[in-house]
Amino acid sequence: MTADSTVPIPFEDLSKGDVLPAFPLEVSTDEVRAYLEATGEPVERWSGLVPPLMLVARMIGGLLARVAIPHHLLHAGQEFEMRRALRVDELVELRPTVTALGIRQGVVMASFGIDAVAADEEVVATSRASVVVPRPEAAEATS
Amino acid sequence: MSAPQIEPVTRVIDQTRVDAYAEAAPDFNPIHRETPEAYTGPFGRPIAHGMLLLALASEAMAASFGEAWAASGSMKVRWRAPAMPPVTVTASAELESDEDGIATYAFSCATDEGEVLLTARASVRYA
Repeated sequence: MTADSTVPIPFEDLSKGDVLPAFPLEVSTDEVRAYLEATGEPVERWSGLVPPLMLVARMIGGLLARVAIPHHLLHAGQEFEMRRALRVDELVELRPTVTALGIRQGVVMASFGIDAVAADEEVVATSRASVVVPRPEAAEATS
Repeated sequence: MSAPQIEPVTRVIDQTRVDAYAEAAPDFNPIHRETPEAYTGPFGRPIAHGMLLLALASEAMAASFGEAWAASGSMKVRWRAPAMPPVTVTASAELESDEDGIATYAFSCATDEGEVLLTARASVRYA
């Protein structure tokens, strides 16, 4: 799938195996501070590095901004693996794919894989988010 | 050198914290906020972000392993129940294995009443 990355992709247009448009990510010191203050983790613990779960949250946040999610979508599962630490102000490209999509017992289930890739093509981190949405809601996508 | 025990992390998750997390993540799914969608949704009221609960487990790993957690950490989580703010949540872990410099822990996040909100497995290369 190719698309204008500024226009959210309707959830119902997704198919297993779709490669979604990549998007850049660069996390600032202020953004790390805001994240840590929100979660309650001591800010002084992280200096110059992005907390790994913040990177994963930003992966998911970027995906949610680019896919028109249905109401009541639920985050059911999550996996991630850090290959190395991500530095503050380091630019990476996030590359999402639809790794699974189907309906089971009336519930739409989907999984999105996202790789964070540095400028030299080194994979910094990988993640996989599993989401579910009640079937009737799948047709009521909103941005 | 052997893997340490992980100290639990306990935190009150209230709507103010959830709203701050929505801005910082960012994750503006309306089921997490004081919105009509939350009150007509499957839980009848706002629920905390699952990733906010998981952040307690990540914090516990970071407290013990520091930069190694950022450089080599991995996690696999299943959310088991929604957290309805305000709620006090504790992330706790038990060491599952410690082999070849890789420590693996079984995590759970639970309410004060003992309801398990998530279970996870976290690994890190520490030596």
